[in-house]
This record gives sequence, structure tokens and C-alpha cells, in this order.
Amino acid sequence: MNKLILSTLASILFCYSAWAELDLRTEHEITIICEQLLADYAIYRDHLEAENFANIFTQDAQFVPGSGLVSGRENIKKYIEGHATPAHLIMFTSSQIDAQSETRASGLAYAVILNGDRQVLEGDRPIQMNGITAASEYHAEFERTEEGWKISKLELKGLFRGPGVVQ
Amino acid sequence: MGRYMGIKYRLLSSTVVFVWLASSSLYAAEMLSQSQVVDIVVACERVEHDYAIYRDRHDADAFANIFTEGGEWGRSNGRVLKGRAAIGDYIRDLEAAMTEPEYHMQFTTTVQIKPTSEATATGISYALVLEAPVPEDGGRATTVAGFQVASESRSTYEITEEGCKIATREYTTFFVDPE
Repeated sequence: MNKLILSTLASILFCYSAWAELDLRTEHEITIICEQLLADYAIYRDHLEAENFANIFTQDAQFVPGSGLVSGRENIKKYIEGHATPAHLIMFTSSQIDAQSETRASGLAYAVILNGDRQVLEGDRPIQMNGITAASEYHAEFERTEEGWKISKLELKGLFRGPGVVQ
Repeated sequence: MGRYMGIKYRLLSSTVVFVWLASSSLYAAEMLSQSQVVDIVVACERVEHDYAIYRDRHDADAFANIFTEGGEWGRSNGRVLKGRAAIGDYIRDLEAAMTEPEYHMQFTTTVQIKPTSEATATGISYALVLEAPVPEDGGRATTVAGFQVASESRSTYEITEEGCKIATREYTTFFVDPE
């Protein structure tokens, strides 16, 4: 009986702590951690680091890059492994992270995307580019898991297309 | 035989030291609390934005001070500037060599900071640069058709008493304006 009362109290305390108003420091920390997850998204996507890229998502994450839904970490990893290697930069600019609790947050970020037609390695000539390739919104949901903060859902919405690479 | 054993022993011991150092650095990074990670990320992100603003304004002393005293700044031509004095002189020379005033804006965009210990971090950042001569009548906005350069920088940082400082930095230009 005592065990039942104790576990009920523990559950109530857990729910309360998850939904209690966040102090400013915690909110700030969650914001920075989530912004860094978006930076990880850009860097690992651009460098096609499939394993690292997949690991920024929860195991059952939903990723909607614009070409349909990709579900789960394994499929997200395969998605990146299937990409070609030309120079690619996802340049995040404005971002707004809303920390809802100690375990959940959501966010909206803007990015300018530059997509080349070949790789650029050290010593290579840069690619001639006439304006940007695209500008998009990234709608994200974040969760704190046993592995730390992860992206549980990410959906891209393209808003602008530019002329891009000079042919 | 004894000499051979000596070399073998030295090789083995230096390998053990290297593995120990590498693993202790990883271990140290994993042992950082979320608060420590966030503090380092914020401090080093700030440096990335200082880099852009001081560079755009040709503020040579402030720019040099975002590096460690012996900081190294790799340029696109392969030249590496070593130390604050050389870095500051480079920025002053850039300004002196300008034949006409120009607007220069470096937009720091994606910044990924990875703390590696309580006092060190690595980072990758992207920048988009707009550049054009200042119009003759001055003060007005100038016209640009696209960006000048888009590049990636890779840095190592040291957390000093003065805050986060760049210890080494090199960059690769991926995209340029065709004109």
C-alpha cells in the first residue's frame, strides 16, 4: 500500500516538474542546446556524416525534407547515405525556440541554402554562384531523451528559389 | 638489439600516451554538465559574431584580440598568420590597400560549437559576405545582385580568463560571385 502511495506521489512529482514553469536559466540552456541541434543538422547534412546526422534525431523521429516523410533513425541515416557529394551549405539565420517544459521544445528556423554542382576540397576553385539556391523554413520539435536532447520532428518548407549555380 | 628494444619501447609508450590523451579529452567532454556546455557554446558563438563585426569595421586591435596571444589564422592563399600582432597588422594593411571605400558585411550563419573539455572547444561556422563600393554620394545603400563569397571556417578555441579565444582558424571558400 505504502509502495503504491509512494509511486503515485513520484509520478505526480515527475509530471509537475515536467510541466512546471521553467526558470530563465533552464529556458536559456534548452534554447542553446536546440539551436546547436539545428547547427548539427546543417553541418552533418552538408558533410554527409550519416551516422552523426541520424543521431541528432530520436529513434522514432519524423523527418519531412520536402520529398516525403522519412520515419525513424535508421531510415534517416539511409536518406543521407543516398545523397551525392556536391558542395552544400545550409546557412541558418533567424531561429525561435520555445521551451515548453524540461523535456519538450519546439522551434522555427530560417536558412539560406547554397547547392553546388561539384565538391570543393582544399585548394579547389570555388563554385561560381549567382545568388542563392533556396531559402526555407525549418519547423522542429525537440525531446529530451536518455541520450540527451534530440529532434523528434523536422519539417522543411521551401519559400524561395534562386538562380543558383552559373552554367 | 638493446637499441631496437629502446625504440620499440619509446614507440609503444608514446602510443599509450596518445591514446590516453585522446580518450581523456573525450572523457572530459562527456563529463561536462549541460550548463558548462551551454556556457562554452555561448562564449564561442559570441567570438564568431565578433569576428564578423570587427573584420567588417577594420577594427584591427579588437579583431586581433579575439585570438589567443599565439593564435593562428590561415588565409585562403595558404599563408598562416601567427600571433595577435601579425593578425592585427594584416587587418590594418587590408584597410590601407583599399583604393575606394567599400561596404563589407559578413553574415555569420550556422555555428556549430563542440566543447572538448572545460577549457577547449572546436567549431565549424558558415559565412555569407556582401561587398560593394560605397556610392559616390555616400550614405545611400548600394546595389548588389548576389553575395560575394560563401565560406566555411574551422576553428579551435581556448577558454581563457579573457573569455573564449580562437587558437587556430582556417577556411574554405565554397561559392563566389561570378563577377
